[in-house]
Amino acid sequence: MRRVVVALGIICLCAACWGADWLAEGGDPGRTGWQKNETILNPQNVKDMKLLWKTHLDSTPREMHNLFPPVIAERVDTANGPRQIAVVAGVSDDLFGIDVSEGEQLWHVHFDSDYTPPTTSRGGQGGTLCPGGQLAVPVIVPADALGKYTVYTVSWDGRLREINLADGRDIVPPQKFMPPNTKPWAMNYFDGVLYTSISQGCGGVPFSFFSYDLATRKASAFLPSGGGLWGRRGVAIAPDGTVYMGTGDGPYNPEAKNLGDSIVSVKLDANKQLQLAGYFAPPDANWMWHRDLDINVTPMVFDYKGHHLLVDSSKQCRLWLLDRDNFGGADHQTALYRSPLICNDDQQYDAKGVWGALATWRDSNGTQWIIMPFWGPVSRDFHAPIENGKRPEQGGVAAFKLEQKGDNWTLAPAWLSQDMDMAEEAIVANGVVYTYGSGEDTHQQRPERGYNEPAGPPTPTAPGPGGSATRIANSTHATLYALDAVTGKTLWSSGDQITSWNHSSGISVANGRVYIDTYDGNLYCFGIARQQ
Amino acid sequence: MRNLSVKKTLIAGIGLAILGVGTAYTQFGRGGASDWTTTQMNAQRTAWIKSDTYISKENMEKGGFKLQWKWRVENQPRQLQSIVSAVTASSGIGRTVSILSLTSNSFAAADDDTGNLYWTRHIDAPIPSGGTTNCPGGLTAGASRPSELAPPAAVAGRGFGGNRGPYTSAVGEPGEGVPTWIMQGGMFGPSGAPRGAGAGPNGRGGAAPAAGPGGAPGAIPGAPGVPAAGGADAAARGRGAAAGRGPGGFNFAPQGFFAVGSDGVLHMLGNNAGKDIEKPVPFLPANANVSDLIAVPETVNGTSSNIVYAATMNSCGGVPNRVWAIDLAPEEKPVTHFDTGASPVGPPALFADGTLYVAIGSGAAGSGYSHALVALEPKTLRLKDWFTDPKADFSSTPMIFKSGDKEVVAAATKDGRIYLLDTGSLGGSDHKTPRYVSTAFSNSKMDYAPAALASWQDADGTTWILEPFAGKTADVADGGVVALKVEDEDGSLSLVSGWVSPDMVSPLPPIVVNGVVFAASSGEYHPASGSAVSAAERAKHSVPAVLYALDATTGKQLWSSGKTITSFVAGTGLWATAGQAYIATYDSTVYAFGFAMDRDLTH
Repeated sequence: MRRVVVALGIICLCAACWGADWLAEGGDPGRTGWQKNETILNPQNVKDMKLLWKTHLDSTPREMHNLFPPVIAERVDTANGPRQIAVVAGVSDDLFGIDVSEGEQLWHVHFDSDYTPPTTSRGGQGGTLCPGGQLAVPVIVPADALGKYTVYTVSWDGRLREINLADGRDIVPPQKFMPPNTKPWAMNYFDGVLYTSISQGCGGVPFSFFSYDLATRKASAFLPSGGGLWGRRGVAIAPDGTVYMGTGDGPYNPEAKNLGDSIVSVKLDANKQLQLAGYFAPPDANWMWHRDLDINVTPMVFDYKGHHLLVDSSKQCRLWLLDRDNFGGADHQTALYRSPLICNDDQQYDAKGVWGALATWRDSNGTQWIIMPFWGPVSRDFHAPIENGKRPEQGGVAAFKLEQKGDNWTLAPAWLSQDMDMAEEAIVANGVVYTYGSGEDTHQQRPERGYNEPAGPPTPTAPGPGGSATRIANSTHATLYALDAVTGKTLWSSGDQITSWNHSSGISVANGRVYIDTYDGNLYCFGIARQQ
Repeated sequence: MRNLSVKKTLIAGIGLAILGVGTAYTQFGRGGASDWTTTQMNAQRTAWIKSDTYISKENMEKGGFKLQWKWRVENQPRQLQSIVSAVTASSGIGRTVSILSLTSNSFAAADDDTGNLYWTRHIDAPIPSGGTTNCPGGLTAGASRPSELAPPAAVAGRGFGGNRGPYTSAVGEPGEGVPTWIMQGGMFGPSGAPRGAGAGPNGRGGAAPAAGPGGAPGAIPGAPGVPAAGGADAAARGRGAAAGRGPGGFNFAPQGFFAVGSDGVLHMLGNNAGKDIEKPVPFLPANANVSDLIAVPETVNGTSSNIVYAATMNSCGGVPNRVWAIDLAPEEKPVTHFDTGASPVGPPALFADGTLYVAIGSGAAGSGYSHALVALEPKTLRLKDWFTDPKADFSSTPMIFKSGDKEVVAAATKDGRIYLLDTGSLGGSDHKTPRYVSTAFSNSKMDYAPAALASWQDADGTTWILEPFAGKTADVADGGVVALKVEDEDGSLSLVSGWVSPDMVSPLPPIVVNGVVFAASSGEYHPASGSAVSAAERAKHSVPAVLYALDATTGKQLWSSGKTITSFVAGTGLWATAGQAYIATYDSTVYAFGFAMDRDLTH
């Protein structure tokens, strides 16, 4: 416990004194995507943002995956003095430490392993959904001393890696955690415990929450008996330690204890075993199952005027606002507010809906905002007071204000962004929304080809939705955007500077810099010139 | 020019995909019903969906069955024809579409869940102006997806991967990772399959080994994921319009349907975009009045392909009255035909051995037949057998059903009599002796005639036949549907009156879904027989259609569409998918009635 208190204290100190670290995917345990401590970039100067550097990392793609968004600590004690270090995971079981000042690679670890992946089925090269390799975004946890940090991640062999951020060396030997060859999502940390979740049945492993208690070295799994738990940012954690995640396609049948297409919460008991804490299933959960509209978005946990809230979305393209203190109500199917469709009028399982990550922030007036990037055309019936140019066709971002009148809650549309090619994660920092269009071919059904049409790109060698080879060939390039968080106006974009795309990755914002990685193994760093 | 062996492989791929993936889809689709692959649902034309998760007598009585969506499709009616027919296809993950054949040489697909347009396709073929009620011109043939010769078995279940145990959790010993046992059983966990059974039904990689290397080795050998139908060959074609998710996981395979426009060319169009996924081939003369098609998969020397059958009717466009077949397996795509003499009254019905049964109406027989029902060999169309009766003015497509151990073919005449014939010997040795002939149920003087029958079997094993009829009876003023039980006493077949529906104007052929009969008052105005009344006048005097749901064993009305439908129906058959029944009206509008099934499309 003492260790936790010290660690929390150090986090506060870091935030107060040193700036805007980004220690976990989504920025905080609640996965709000809100970079609260950014002071360098703002709506006035972000227009001057430019590419500061890009560096190629020696990571080999697997299927459509390669690099994952960096987690960053500003003042890390190294042998050569304090450095701001970004940690980037590579799918080929690699981990990189980058000095962000010039993009210099400080260290590179290729995980040792005696694990031999199977050569068939989803074990070896298991299609787009199960690429194998390292798939979780690591989490950085401050150690007991200022300037000391531990990086936690899960390697392909399922072992937990505890690595010194300063030099990339193992702090302790790899620990048994979960079966190999699964698909863990971004790591999270709270109160001495690491959390993640897995999906897609990769390696034949059931859909599960996972926890790892660092003090006791006990690992636990909770199987909601629904679908995969594949929110991009991994599980969200509330201040009371309750862990939340959406479940994918599967029956919602509470009598049979099947929690498919639901938002499930779990919590550790005294024996460090995950136990069910609550669940919410939309009234149309089974309809969502039929249409393959998984709740595939990491929930956001935040508090607002004393209310303990959660917002989530899915491929269906709605927002649900939930009261964490009365989660789903007595019937487990009642939300404080359920939005209409924001996109995906066709209720299509691929290439439409929300696939990236939401963000929430509170402005100086106390207004709570919800930022929602989405793929595909905006709903024909969704309109916002401020719409910025052509309504989204390939994707975009919608923003909402949280409003409460008595017991009535709503998410009032505020603005709609410009068109973007598959809008993914959003991060809000100092009045600016950062998001990006991934440029990925997100279609899982291949276009029907006439008998007299050319064959097109090579087809997959293993069964899988869409097939990676075809989608890789059809993908273009990512574009990073900075939007005015209050109006949605595009303040800056990377244009054609980024020459590749990414899949199931993200962006990071820390200390005046914005990071994005691409399929071709490059890490881009954008910022304003004075930062140099 | 493509290599022949490659082509054979491709054909095999298509065939396998169509056969196998179709099965997978029916298990994935909404509510677990079978696809409606051809007119009257199947090759035997029984119009019977045996099981449905949602539609049942009990659920209909609970309420909630209502209009889910309606959709007006772009089309130009010809004479009284508009939407010719519909088939359904589960053409993508979680999506079932109704594919409409339209008189204007077009096809349109709608998402059955939402009513949203999925795609449209127009065949660029000339359509002569003019036309008559008997020869309307344009596209007259309803499309067909490959339809199994064996009657479809009841399909149950809902969605993929339903075999899950209850939620559960476990904690490992310090330093040992998560316990091995809870990581077993495939993606659905240890309770989704019996402990020790290996990977679950959707296995994606076999059972999990123990946590981390160095731990106990995975104790349970995992069964590899079962590859879904379609297979690598189909996927390798890269044409996989139809993504499906079967019990074995994902797959990508081409799926299509067969169609003929006014130029008589046969197209295989893809379910996902309506593109020609095979090269179109000449099949029929242009401007014929072509019956709905029926496509039958076949395997020759290990190669899967299809045979497509159709009939040309009423000598339209100078095209003889014939039954036609095209064999798509050989490179040359041979076309064969059988001259019927008088006009066939509709498409053939096919027995499980592939034999075709064709009803031939009145009219000049020439060197062929009239007032007859003929049996033709598959593919060659050689005459196998025939039945004739000068009093049998057949009007309905034959229907093949099983009663006890007997396979029986039934067909209706204009006056509503039903002929029951033995499939093995249609008219006995003299070709004139039916197994049974019912009384006439239609006493109307209008030019109405029953176009098809339906058949189903109740839980007691009793076979029922449903016939639409027109005319006043003790029960109804205008017409309706009569339900008859098939009785077999010592080998002697008869039809015993069961029930009569509520009154209906020019009723459509009914369909049956899981013990519920859907029948419709078409509202179409039929003038007196022999009178010359234009299509426009007929349309003017027609009234809106009403769809009914009836208890299949008692005829009790369970539901009706009331005044929801605003136009009449001119011959377009009803169809159904899981939880939903469809009716298409003259103004080119499709109405989908069903249960909401949790769906909420609130914008």
